[in-house]
Amino acid sequence: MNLFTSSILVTLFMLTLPIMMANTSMYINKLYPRYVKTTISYAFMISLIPTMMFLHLGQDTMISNWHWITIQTMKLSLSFKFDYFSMIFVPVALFVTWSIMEFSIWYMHSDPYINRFFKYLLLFLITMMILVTANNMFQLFIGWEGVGIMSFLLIGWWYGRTDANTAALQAILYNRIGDVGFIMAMAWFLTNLNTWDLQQIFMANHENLNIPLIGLLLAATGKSAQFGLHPWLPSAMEGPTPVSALLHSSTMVVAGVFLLIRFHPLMEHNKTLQTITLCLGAITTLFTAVCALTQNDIKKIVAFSTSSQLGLMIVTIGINQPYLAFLHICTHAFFKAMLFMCSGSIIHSLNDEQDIRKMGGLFKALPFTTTSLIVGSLALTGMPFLTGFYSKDLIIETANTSYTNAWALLMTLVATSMTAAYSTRIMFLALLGQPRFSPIITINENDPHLINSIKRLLFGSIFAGFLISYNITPTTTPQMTMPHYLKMMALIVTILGFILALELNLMMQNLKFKYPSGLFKFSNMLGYFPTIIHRLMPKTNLLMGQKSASTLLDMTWMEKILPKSISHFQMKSSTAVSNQKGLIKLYFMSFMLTLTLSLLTLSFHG
Amino acid sequence: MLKIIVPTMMLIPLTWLSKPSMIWINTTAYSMLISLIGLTYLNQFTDNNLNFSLLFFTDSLSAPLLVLTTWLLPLMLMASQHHLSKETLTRKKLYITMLVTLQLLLIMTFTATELIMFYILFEATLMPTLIIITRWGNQTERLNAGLYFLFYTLVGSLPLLIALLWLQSNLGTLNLLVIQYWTQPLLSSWSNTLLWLACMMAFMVKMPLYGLHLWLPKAHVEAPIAGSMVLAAVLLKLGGYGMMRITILLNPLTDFMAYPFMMLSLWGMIMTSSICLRQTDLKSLIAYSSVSHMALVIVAVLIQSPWSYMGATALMIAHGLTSSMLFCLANSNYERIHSRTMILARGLQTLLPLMAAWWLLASLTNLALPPTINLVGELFVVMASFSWSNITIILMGINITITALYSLYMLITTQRGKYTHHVKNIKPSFTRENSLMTLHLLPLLLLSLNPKVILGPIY
Repeated sequence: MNLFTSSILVTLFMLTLPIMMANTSMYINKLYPRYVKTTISYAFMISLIPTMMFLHLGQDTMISNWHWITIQTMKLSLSFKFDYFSMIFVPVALFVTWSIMEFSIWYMHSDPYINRFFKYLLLFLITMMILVTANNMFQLFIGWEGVGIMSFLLIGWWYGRTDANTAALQAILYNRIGDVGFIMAMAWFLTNLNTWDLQQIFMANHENLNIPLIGLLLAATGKSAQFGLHPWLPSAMEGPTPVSALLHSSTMVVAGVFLLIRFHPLMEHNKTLQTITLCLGAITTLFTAVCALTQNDIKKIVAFSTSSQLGLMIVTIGINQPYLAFLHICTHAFFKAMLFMCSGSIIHSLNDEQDIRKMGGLFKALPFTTTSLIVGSLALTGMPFLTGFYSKDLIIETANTSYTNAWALLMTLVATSMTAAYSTRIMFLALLGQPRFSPIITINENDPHLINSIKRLLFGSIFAGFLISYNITPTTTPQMTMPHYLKMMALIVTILGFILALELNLMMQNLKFKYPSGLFKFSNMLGYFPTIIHRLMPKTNLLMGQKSASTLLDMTWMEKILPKSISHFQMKSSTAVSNQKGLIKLYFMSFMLTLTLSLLTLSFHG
Repeated sequence: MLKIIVPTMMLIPLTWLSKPSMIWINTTAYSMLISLIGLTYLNQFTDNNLNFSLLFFTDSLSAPLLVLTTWLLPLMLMASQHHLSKETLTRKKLYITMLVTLQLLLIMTFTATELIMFYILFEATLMPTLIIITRWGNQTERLNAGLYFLFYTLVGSLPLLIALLWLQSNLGTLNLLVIQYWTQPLLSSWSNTLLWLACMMAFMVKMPLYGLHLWLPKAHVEAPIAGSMVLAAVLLKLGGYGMMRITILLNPLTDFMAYPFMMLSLWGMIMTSSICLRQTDLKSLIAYSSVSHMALVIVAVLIQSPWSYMGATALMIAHGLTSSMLFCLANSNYERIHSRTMILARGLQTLLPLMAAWWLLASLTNLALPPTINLVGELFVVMASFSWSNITIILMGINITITALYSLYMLITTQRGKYTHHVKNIKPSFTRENSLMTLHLLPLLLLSLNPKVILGPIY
């Protein structure tokens, strides 16, 4: 065992220490949150060692520790895979979590159960680490389900609120639909390949892989909130803001994309699945961007923008560029987590006000948050030489020069332009102009926990993209030559979005709708998706459960067919056949007569 | 085998001769010790089985169930303490005696070598259960429930007796160890079809198969806590155990006869799960969730592949512990709220945080969170049914989703939200209850570390 594996194992082991400490008196200490935060920061620093070594040497490692079970010819053991994806993602996730933990010390300081909150966040991080480092599908599934359950617990953190509980249940429901796909893929691999080890799966014959790949795509759709299973992500904003920053922007929701990246060796030759993936991603990125345009809740806008970026990642996988999608996962983690933290800072300062119409003029009151928010938004839109640029621009370029599906490409471009539009809208309404919030609110962002954590991610949002893309070797050959208009396309549509949104906002600021247009309603009501799906389907299902399953079948028909009808039939037939009339004296009389007669005959017999 | 049976028998004099203050602690402690003896049977060091005598044997299929049975008696005793506290001493002793008798019969059922002895003991377990349900249940509906319980099971199992007699005269033996070598393939004919039905229906009713399950929710709801626990944890598993044992006699007819029952189970598990979504009664919800989980076991047993047998065995053990734990939790709510209705016991997390943790863990195991053995069981069953027919994944998937939904619905309704005013002065959770939950959960977690011991025969 060289320094590589030992240091990565130390990183993983360190994360479990605060969980174990939860059984000691440490857990009732007020310093437990700081302890968790510091542990994660150390884990981050240690995790840099293997990452550096990986960047230097480029060696994949796979370790197999504890033999769990062998069934027939299938061996399952605890095994970790430290390859390109996990080695880059682990430090990124730890860095982001470190900042978010520090941010939560500030954000959750008045919560009586803050220690439990930190424990949950850490448990989530551990399951996420299991997910990204897993080398077999069972272990991957442990992490996969683990992040789902932790998201249930964290979304429902304020368990007294009905909305939080509903959102938590909704998240589990949509994730669970995705899990069915995962289980289907597992079943297929087991039946046909007799293995769950990734290496052995990748050696599979590349024909007829449609069933497992559809399963994996379904899993990714559920976890990464792609179109059809997307409504849980905006609903999940009921959870505390640190949860949104950690789970619903940078780590958990990218697990689906990560899964597809992991299984990319199977997908790269399957054109059907790539087309489906591309279209799914394109629909998602456009639809959620449209929804983001007219939302008023600041967290919802950021959530929809996350969903839109996830769609973009899926598009990237659809055009057969998993490494680019992975790069976008890493860069996206920095600025999206920061955007959530900035909105958390605003929400906290404005006394839990989330409506951007009631903000305004915050650039004077919250200068640091404003700076970070603007940098984050610019990075999100792919402004040159900020973090987002390095992945987003490359994705759009590659999509432009690929010859897969012009329609999907067009949708992606429109969505890219809309990214700029809704970012402008946040900046315009929340930060610029006159204050529209209550004047008695005291605004204070000068807490070192807040400033430091956002600052760290701010540096990340500016430099991380450069650092990551400078250090990793390009694994797919980038397109070197292309016409000017294709090269500039990403920038042009983004700037177009900016200008349009700015003009519209300036012009419409003092005008009022007479009545909202159909398009506005479509966007504001989230495409009527929740209205249709969340009313109709549960209602039908529950009605079916009540009416047909419970009342009709169980309580009526099955009772009637077996027990009731038998007892009824017996009763009727016995009353019909029997001559029992309750004449007890007569019966006793005949009984006695029979007895005497038989005794007499018996005695005479002898 | 006598080292388990004799101590279990001696629990009865122990109960009657103990001091009034010591009856619970004595019986609980001794039955716990007995269950520790049984643990050694989990170590099946040969590929075949452990023969103790001509009458008793265990193999890797019956050993986990045997251990589950012995493990459950102390838990039942712990769970029943509170609701018997108002009864007289004699009645308490009688109740414990009933539980011990049931335990004794169950142990012998799981280890019987002769099928006819298995049958007799299988029927004999009805009596103590019936007495427990109809004597110590809470409402008058318990009599009706007892009637349903008795008649469904009896009507289902009487044909088995005839079938067994016929088999004995035909094969010359009903010894489980010998029969697998002597059995003749059953050809497809009307009489053989009837034989198949006679052999299987007894266990299908016991499992219960969807359509023949009406006795189960009634019996579960009306039984006292120990009755519900033992019903869910062990008595249902008699059906699965019996099916796995008797299918060796019924080949190759099962391949053909399985279809209607497979369909009924696959359909039934979705129907029962969706009934769970609409339940207002906590115990009834858990009972229906048992039906839905047992449908998976029926599917697995009927598929008859090594993977499906492993899944069925694992799922039976996992479900035994999980559902028993859920019943205990429901009972601890019932003892405080005095109602089984869920909306009367809302928001308990605020008042009983540790109990909320048990609820959470129980719900998570019920929805088969990896890496618990519930998942191992369910996953293997899904694998087996997927390789049997790819389309079943749709039904299985719907069931997986609904299972997660109702488990969390139960959790959210009872634990989350604002608490109601009438629960303000409830008692805190007792150490007895917490240790009861721990003793349910500990085996679940430990078995997840090494699920091989409960996978049954690994071929």
